[in-house]
Amino acid sequence: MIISQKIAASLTVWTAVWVVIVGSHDIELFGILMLIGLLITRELTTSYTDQETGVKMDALISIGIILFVVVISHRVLSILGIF
Amino acid sequence: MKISKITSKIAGAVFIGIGVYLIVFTEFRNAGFGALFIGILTLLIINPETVEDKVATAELESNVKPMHDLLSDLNVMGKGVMVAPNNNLKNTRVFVPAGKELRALPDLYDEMVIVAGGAGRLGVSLVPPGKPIYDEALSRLDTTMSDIEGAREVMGMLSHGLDMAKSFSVREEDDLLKLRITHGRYDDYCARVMERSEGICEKTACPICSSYLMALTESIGSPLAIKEFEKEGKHVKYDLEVLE
Repeated sequence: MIISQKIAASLTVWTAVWVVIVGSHDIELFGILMLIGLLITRELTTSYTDQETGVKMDALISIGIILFVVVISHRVLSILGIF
Repeated sequence: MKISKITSKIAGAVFIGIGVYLIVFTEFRNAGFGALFIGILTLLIINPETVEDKVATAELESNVKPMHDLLSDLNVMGKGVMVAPNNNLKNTRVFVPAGKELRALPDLYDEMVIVAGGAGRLGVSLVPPGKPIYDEALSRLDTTMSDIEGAREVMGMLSHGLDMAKSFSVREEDDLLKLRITHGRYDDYCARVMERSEGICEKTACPICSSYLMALTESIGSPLAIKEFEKEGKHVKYDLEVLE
């Protein structure tokens, strides 16, 4: 199994586990857990991934971080009663 | 586009479709989001552009057989010495002495193949068969080969990144460097090479082991002489002496 297949397989298992645990509650928490999985996988495989796969993973992480910022901003604004 | 690549693209598209359906038409939004995530991952990350195992091993073997036959015809009997780049040498070479004993390592030059450096110093200097694999591993890393840690990093890429072996270890014992490589998918290839190209492991080594030896030599910066070679099950053992 090549490294990109290992990455995809491990993240699929990670996702499946959290789908079972979180169920249909709290999509924001689920999204953050996906981002954490992606960050852990990226960190652990940095030395072994080729540049192309690394760039693609970084792009996914960037999208995840943008969504994370949106989620946090939404929470802060709702606590402050602005939104 | 290869069948495996098409399959992965179709699988990714199906996951995305399921994800969109679950998010839009059902209440299983997390499952939908998860399926969408896996779909995007499959489309982007999985890159199955590869050759069949049998073709890959045949390509690797095609490098070893001519080298073995050449060394046999030249009646070269010594054990190989990996020589790191130095003042005269731009690229790493493997020097195989003509006789069983090497008295002293002759001066090697890039353009020189048959080396006649005097009594006990006759032999052939070849480009290590593992050079392309080693270069590929090195190109994927941002490392400097200045110490043994650099070698470990390259060997990690060879094992886990390029899947050349399952694992490896390097340790110092009794003035010798002991390199252990545990084969994974290429174990059958290794056994076949040993059978069809007898003695090549001690001379130049096959492309896989040669790439590990290159990493070690370039990190140390000194010539490494193969003292002992042994294969035990899936484990390949090299005892190496650092020549000053």
